[in-house]
Amino acid sequence: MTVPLTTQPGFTRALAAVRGAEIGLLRAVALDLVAVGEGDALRELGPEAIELIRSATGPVSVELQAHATADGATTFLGRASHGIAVSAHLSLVAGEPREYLRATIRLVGTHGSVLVDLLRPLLDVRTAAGARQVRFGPPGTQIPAADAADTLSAIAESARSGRAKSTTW
Amino acid sequence: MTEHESPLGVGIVGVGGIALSHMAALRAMTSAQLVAVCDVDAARATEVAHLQRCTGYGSLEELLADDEVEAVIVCTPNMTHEQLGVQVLRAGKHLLMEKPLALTSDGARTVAAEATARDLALAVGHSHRFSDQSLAIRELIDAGDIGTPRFVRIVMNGGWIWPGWQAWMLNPELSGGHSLHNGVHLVDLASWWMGEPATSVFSVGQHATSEALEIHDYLVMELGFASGGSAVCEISRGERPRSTGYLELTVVGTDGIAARTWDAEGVLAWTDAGLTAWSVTGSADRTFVRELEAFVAAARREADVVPPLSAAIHAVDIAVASEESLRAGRTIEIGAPA
Repeated sequence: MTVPLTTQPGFTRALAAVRGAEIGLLRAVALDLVAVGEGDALRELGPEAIELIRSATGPVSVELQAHATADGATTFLGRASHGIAVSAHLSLVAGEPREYLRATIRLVGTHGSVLVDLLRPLLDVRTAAGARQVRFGPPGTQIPAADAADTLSAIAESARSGRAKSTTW
Repeated sequence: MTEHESPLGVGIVGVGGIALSHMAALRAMTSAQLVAVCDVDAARATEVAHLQRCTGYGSLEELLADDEVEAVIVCTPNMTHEQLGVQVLRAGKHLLMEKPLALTSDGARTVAAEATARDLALAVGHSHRFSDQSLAIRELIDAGDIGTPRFVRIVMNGGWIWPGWQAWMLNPELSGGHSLHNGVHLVDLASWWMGEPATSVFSVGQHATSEALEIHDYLVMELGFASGGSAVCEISRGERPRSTGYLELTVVGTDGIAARTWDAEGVLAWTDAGLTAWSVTGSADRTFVRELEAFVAAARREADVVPPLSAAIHAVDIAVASEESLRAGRTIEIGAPA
């Protein structure tokens, strides 16, 4: 995908809300990434997904159960060691152009929640010829990337074995 | 009405909160009519009967002895469902049981076996199947618009924890825990949209309102399916602020995605409660009318029960397994559905 989601200004604002305790203490994260593209969703979207999650929860150990379809769509639910519930779904839909169909992250706190549509901000343009959406605004602050290989291996292994696995991100 | 000259006579057992939704639906219908109510609080039953212009009883036995009652809706707390369900069916009345069908898998099968043996309609109040949005999503799936479903996310988060520390919903012995009390709604939708029963469940729960709670007022259930597909079902009554009402429905298929976002109904309001998305007037009413119309059709033998009894039993199986997953901290495999 062309636009790194971790630079999305709404997400960086949401992270500031978590760090500033504007929604209390973080207790759950829910992430959905669905894109048009080919290949294995965990490999294609996994690194960015883990980066998004880790930037919200911080580095933490987690017990997770994953499921995957034959064509690579992957879901996992994890219980982090500090009690945060993290769920995520990653999948690819064959076709062109290669772009996100859905990218949302929800951060649930003890005193409120933040829902971020990672594909915004955008303009809705509707004409007699049809409807389209046009993004606007500069990207937010880049979050340093970290290695997610071990986490992605644990997710893949959980999906293969049908058993919960421990990992860290 | 079809060939039946008179509406189906319906009695309601338990006149608490959810019974009011059924009464409102019955008032909007011509194929069924509320003829009696009963409640352990006889005075309350009399008061409601007066308002609803029907007969009020202080016991189930009296209501079941009323020949005008052809079908019964049980709206009592969860721990009573198995016993009352069997009692209603043994009296020869069709039964719409509020969810869950029972607190245990064995209990659910006991009630189902009674209905089958007596050739009576037994429906379970998985009312979310009948909502505008649920039906629209199912139609999209059936039309093949998004390909084969492989992921469902359902989020129903609210901030209104049930009042009173003694409320039966907060007692896992009486309600079965959050998986059974509300979780079955989400489990039923997920299995229905996926088109297959779940084969495993892994759950994470929290005591969001207070650590003193015995149930998990915040609950996430991850369902696995034999196809490799999955569902994440998130239900909460511990959100802040208390006015929170967040609904999200997402189905991801092999060819695309259908999502009902939090502001899908297009009515946003700024009030002292903050920014909220309001529901469209009447949508909840239509849900219960559709549910009761389907029940009447099943009782009249004009249609199959919705949801199928096997699905209602499956929802109990999953919910029971979810509670076990919360206790054990591991994934629980599910046996073959009934």
